Amino acid sequence: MGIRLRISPQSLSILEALLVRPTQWHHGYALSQHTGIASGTLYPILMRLEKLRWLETKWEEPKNAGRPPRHLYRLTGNGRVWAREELQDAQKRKVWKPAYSGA
Amino acid sequence: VNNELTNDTSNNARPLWQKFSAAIANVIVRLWPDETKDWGRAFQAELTEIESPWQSFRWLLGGLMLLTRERFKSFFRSFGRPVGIPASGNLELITKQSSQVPRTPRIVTALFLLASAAILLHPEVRTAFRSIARSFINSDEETSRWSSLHQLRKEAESTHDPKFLALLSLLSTDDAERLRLADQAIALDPSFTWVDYENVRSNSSRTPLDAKRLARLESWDPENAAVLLLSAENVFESSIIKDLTYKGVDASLMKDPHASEWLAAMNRAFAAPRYDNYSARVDQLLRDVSATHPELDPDIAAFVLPRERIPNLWNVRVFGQWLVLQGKEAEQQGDLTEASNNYWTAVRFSVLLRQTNTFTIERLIGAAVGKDAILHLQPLLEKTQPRQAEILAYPLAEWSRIDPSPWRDLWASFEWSGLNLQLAATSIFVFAIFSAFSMVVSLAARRASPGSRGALPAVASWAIDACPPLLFLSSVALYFLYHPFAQIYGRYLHTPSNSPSREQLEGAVSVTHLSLFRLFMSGEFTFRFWFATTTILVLVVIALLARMLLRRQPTQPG
Repeated sequence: MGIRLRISPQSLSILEALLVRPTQWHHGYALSQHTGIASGTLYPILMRLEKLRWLETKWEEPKNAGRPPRHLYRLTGNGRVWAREELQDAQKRKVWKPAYSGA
Repeated sequence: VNNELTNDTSNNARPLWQKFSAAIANVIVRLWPDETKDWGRAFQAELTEIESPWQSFRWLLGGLMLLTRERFKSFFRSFGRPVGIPASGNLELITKQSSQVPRTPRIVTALFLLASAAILLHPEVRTAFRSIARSFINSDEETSRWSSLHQLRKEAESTHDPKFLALLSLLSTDDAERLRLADQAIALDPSFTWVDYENVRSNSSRTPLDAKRLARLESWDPENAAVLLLSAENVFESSIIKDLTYKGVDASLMKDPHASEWLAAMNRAFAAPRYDNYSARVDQLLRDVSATHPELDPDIAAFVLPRERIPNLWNVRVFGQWLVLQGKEAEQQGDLTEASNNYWTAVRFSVLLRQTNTFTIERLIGAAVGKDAILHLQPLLEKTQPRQAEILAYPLAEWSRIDPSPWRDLWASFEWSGLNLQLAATSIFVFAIFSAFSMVVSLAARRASPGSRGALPAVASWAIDACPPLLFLSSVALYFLYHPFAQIYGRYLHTPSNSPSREQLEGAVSVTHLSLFRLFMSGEFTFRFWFATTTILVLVVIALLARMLLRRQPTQPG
């Protein structure tokens, strides 16, 4: 187990969403839509995950002219392992139920 | 990364709510703290993908919450940065590699400054600082300049309280005003007639009382030797007796036309049943006024107490010698009763001066007169009254024990404390100015890169690291140096039964008024050695700092 995250149901939902297609990059708004978590809660969790090196980020090249570059997120290799452990642990303790079968 | 939404041709085609959301998001990003601004841009970029006004509103609401959270975090994080270091950039690298920026976290600087301010606001420290500042600008001798006395003057004018008038009389440095105020106080309450006794100053500007005042004082307190000595002193000062007795007392004293007048006045004084120098009344007056005007402490005491009248030592001493001379002459003529009477007169007066409320100098005068008389009286009594001769051995032994040297040692310790207090106060003044100056310079230079900063910000960066802790240490030093003296004065004011000795009290109230220059000029070897050592050390430190600053090569971080 790596650095422990302060686990909240919202953090677990985000981890689960990031694990659905773990090698793919995710947008912030898409994560918010999938988890139902508002931006005011989503970004602090992402910032914390990045600080703990569970998450890697990059700027997307703008697809359309006049649109700003978007920020992309995905779990690091270790992040994926630790995220799965956290989700299984939370599931065992019955504090969280998976929303996706892929998690 | 571009942080602004680019205005393109499609911008005009966007609905109004999207334009509005974009404008709000721009403001949010602009207000976002520098160190996490990328996250603000990430939040902003998502807004362009939202197609529902309601979702956009929710996204913006979350953004506002995020902004608030980040501003709070940034505010608390800023405590960890030194003053004048911007939030963006690698702080650790900047402070490690560059010698041109401050290194102390601003929370530490702020804590030192706040702690110093808290100490400086302490009443004792404020009193010490005010007194020292007054001694620096040398206005402690000129009470008319004291702003703290203005209120008392106004109150005295409006209430006509004899206490205030009496105290203002004691505090006045103007002769005419001093006497006018004394007259007003005495007219309102004759129990303040003693103020005229203090109107004969013991300092160099001695002003004899006129005959009318003297008569008023004598009729108010006719049995007081201290008052009766005033008349004799007036004659003594204005006659040639002083010159005649320069090399000792002999019969030539009678050549002075005022001799008989002086002898009569001195005989009255020496025959008086009690001796009261009114110091207890001065103390009570100071206590009464301080109770209602604490802002005057301890300056009023520092002014009044050392100026309390003490009798003319020479006048008393000459008369004591004259009595002994008369006694010896009577012995030679075989008139032992007359001889004994002369000696006893001197001894009785000396015993009066042994009271606890007399000053050390008065007790020393008494001892000098008494010892001389007893040495002649004892052999006389051994022949006729051996028991009385034995009894006289007691005051003789006591007078021999009165040693002025502990008093001198006490004053030496006061002078030492006074010197340290002045240095602590000077340090506070200097370090406070340097702290403020260095902070202004560092804040002004915060946009410049460490490598391109000039010499002034480099000095300021050193000062901002060093001055707040030194200011704190100086404030602590001032508190601990002055606290014992504040306690002595507090005991004097509030617990008369446990009042400190006169010398302790005068030292405690005067300790903040000792001028550095006077101390250096009149000080002993230890003072001068201390001064010289401190000066040399300060010069060495300045030289080292100058060399260090000159050698500092600015290095670019990274």
